[in-house]
Amino acid sequence: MDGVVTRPDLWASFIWPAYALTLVGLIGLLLWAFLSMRSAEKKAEESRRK
Amino acid sequence: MHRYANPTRFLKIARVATPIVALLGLALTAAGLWIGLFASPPDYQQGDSVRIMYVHVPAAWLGAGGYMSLAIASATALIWRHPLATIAARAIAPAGAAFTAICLVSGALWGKPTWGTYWVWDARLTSMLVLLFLYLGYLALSASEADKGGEARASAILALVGVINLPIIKYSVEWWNTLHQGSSISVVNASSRIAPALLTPLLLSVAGFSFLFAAIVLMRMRAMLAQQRVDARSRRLAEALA
Repeated sequence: MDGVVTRPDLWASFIWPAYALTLVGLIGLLLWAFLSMRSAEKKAEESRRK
Repeated sequence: MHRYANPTRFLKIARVATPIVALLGLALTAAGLWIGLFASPPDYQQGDSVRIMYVHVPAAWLGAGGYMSLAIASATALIWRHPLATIAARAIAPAGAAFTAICLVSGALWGKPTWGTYWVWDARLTSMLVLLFLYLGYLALSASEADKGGEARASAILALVGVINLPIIKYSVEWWNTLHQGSSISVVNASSRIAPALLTPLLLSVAGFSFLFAAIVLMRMRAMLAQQRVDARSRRLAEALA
């Protein structure tokens, strides 16, 4: 087996749940930061025009 | 540093940097996790469960590193009253808390197949949990200060007091007998006891997570600065009408 890379079983050893939770957390955080930034900058632009 | 404490100058740089940093973060994280899952070999002792390291270790480093940044920003706000320092601290806190939570959850999932338990009141695990509570305490206190419109002094002091937990996290595996393994990478000596086939995806993930952390902080800072502008205009308008 030395040097041979086998395809891992993602369900075994909790690998898949760990990756899924991490990615959900990271993407959720990125989306929240992006949407809150976009909405706040839009509001600031509207208030500047008034 | 003082030059960039000007919000207008900061925004000019942040508008250009945000998409670059976010895209770099996504690309490096995708590459690190893909190689970690499909192209790196299993560990000779832990087997495939070692692949959890590629999400757990970067999250742990950023949870602790994020707190250090939070404390530096808080100290800057207290000492020099930089207009951006409090905003930076408030932007760092939710990202740091989220990365610490990811570290704790992925660590629990790694602990079950490796140690036979999700959780144990071990020094490293407990000090990381304390770090999460410090972040949550900072978030609650700074939200309350922001609501009252006061200065962020109490939350900045809390952030500085909490720094005592960082060396405890770092040296917990040396000071106490713990289930958690000792450190395998030394940043100070630039050395590692991890095989290159496992180290490459780990470093890619660390770089990717770091850029994503920076992108989140930049976006939150931009959101808070925009909100400040709206609030200032509303106040001026109310004063003019009064």
